[in-house]
Amino acid sequence: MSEARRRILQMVADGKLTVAEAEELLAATETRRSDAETGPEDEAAEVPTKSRSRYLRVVVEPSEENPRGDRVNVRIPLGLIRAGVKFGALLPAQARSKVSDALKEKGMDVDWHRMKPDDMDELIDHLAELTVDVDSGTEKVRVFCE
Amino acid sequence: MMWPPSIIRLRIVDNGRKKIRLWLPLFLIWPLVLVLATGLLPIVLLVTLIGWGPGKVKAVVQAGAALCSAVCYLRGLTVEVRGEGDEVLVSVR
Repeated sequence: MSEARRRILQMVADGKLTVAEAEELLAATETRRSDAETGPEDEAAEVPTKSRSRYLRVVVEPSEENPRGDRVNVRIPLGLIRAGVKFGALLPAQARSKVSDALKEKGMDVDWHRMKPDDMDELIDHLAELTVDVDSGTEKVRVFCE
Repeated sequence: MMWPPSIIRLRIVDNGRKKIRLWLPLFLIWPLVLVLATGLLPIVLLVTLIGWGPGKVKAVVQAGAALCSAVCYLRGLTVEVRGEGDEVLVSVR
């Protein structure tokens, strides 16, 4: 059994994925494998090089119509997020539920109990592709990884 | 090799008048922290072993390692907010 297949099945067992979602992922895995079997040249053409982003950036700039607006520039090392999750995984179950409740009160309804450091690595790897651009008219907000 | 942050830069400007500019040389603190940690580690592990049992010793070691890596990954953190006359900058290098 391939590593990807095993991880997908594990996520189903953990209740993180539904059966339908797992089916889609398994189908995608099979497609990738069949593509790989067509030849190394094709594979090299298909698989993008994974960029290693180091920072999550949040930039808020005033628009030209509102040049006196606030400017925000935040740069968070992605390693810090990883380390935070690893540190959070060591919290006792009672403390974790309190943290979850506090986050829920702030509108972040995320089940952190089930979040593992490996999942976070995967999430952060995919963050590299994330770009959010919001132009509200008075200010521009950009969230991206670099 | 990960290194802990060496300098924290802090700049606060309140309404264009009050200005605080600080360069905190953390690299001067780390040798002291290292000496203290080396001295305290056996005591902490012994107290944990006696008080909570061997299972918790592993958790304490893991927590210590996670804390160290979190501190090391602080390097590069920047928070900068500028308003009209106000400014806050926290930069960890």
